[in-house]
Amino acid sequence: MFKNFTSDDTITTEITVTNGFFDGGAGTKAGSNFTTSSLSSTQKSYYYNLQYNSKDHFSLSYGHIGGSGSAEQSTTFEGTTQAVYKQFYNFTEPSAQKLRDGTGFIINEVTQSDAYFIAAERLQMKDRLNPGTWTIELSGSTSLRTTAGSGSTLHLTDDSKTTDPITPGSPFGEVYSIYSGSAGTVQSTTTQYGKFYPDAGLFVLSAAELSSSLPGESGYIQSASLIDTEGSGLAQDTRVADAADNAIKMAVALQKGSVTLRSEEKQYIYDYFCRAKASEFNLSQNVTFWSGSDYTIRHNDMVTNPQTYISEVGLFDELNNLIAVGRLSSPINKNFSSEAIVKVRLTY
Amino acid sequence: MGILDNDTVVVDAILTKIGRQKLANGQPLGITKFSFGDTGVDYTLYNPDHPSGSDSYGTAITSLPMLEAVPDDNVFLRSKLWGSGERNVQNFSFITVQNTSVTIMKVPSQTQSTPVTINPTVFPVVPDATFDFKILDVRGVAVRGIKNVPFDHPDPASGIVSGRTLEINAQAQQITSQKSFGIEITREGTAPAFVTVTMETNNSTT
Repeated sequence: MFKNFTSDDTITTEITVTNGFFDGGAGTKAGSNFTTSSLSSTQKSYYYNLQYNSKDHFSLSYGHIGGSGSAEQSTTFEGTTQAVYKQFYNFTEPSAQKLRDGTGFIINEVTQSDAYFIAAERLQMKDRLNPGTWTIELSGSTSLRTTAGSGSTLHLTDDSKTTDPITPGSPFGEVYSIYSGSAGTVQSTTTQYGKFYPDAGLFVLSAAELSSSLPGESGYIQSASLIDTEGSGLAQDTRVADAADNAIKMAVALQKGSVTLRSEEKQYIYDYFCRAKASEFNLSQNVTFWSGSDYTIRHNDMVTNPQTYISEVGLFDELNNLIAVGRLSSPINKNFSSEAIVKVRLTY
Repeated sequence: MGILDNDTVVVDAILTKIGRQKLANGQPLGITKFSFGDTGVDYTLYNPDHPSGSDSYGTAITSLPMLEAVPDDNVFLRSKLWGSGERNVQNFSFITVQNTSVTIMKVPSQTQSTPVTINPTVFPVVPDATFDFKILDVRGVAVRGIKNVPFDHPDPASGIVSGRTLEINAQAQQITSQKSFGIEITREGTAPAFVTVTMETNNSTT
């Protein structure tokens, strides 16, 4: 027997589900868990991938508005860092005029000639990154010394807990400022370190500000071969030379730091209230409900007071196609003395 | 004085293959009705002689852990609950068919097949009774009211038609290997019947 739903029987709810960003649902990972994936030298001139559990989690890149830090850059040849910078700018800037003029990222009220980019892997971030809960801890050396000194860390988070999104934002959604702090609690708004685009899973970090906080030792700046030594930092190598490699510096800063991050996903819950009134659903098509070739009711005491056991609920369309099915953990007894309400929940 | 339990049972449902196909095709699910079922419940476990009394007659049934739902729409909801106030029901009506196993035979020297007609009756007799015929795999099958699905289609698809009888045939020149499938014949408030249909090959004239 089918029973039609009324308008009071169905309720739709939208919920936001958050999970740890990292493989397996972990929300925090020390940088020592991250490895750089194997990429070709051409790919590395644009970006590095950071992996956890052999799965890509972040892509790291460095961009310069004029192409500095590329292997090659001239009036007739656009360097890789310029291409990176302009791609991300084109992607995030909502103003047609600024795009036309090639204004560039404005962070801390200053046009940034260069920036570090951290792009989250789509598979891990689901619909978007969860704002107001993340911490990126970058590690490096605090001064441009020629000898190894003690390291320092810079904790970054966004200001979404206390501040409305930046306006105008981006063509695709909210933008928040990145400041020093942890888990959405901003420590100081003196220095804006960058912009956070949760819908794109993108962090745009001012290279100048990061360099100012964690420059690294002077010998480190121009030598990618020193990445595993102490004294690493984020001061930019702005030479136009084969050896210039700034993106790897962000990889090292993350590998020596840690990341706390959550994914966010919108889900829709459809609740269907299936109601059996006292007089309904008290007989069964189940063959064991009956006995013999003439289908006599099996138990005599059920003639006047039939008992059925609801073990499943089916949701059907107009053509009686079974669209969804739910099973109860244990059957519910139904008879003329009882009513049953089963809330069937569909989530997708 | 105890506190009455007013909990609503909450069940997490899963989409069947048909539901998923609808979503994949961008169609709304179009859920408009529901039904309760008791597939898997064995009423021979109901024990009116239980020493603990009437509250415990169904203990063996209610204590049994249930199997979880699967997406195949032919696994569950095969026996539905029904009734809207009927009491003193002593016998259940049931559907009978002359043959529970029929064969769609190839026409000699042709690539056509000869249709078969399934003509169910219901007991006690109901004049002009109509039935729902659920063909569990319509690939290669020709039935009025169901869109032809090629015999070699990778995914099985079921189809339902209603009527007093069902004429069913094989799609001409399509059947490259002999195949059997089931047809469930149902009618509300009636025990269902099941017919197995075998289709002979008809892809050549030999």
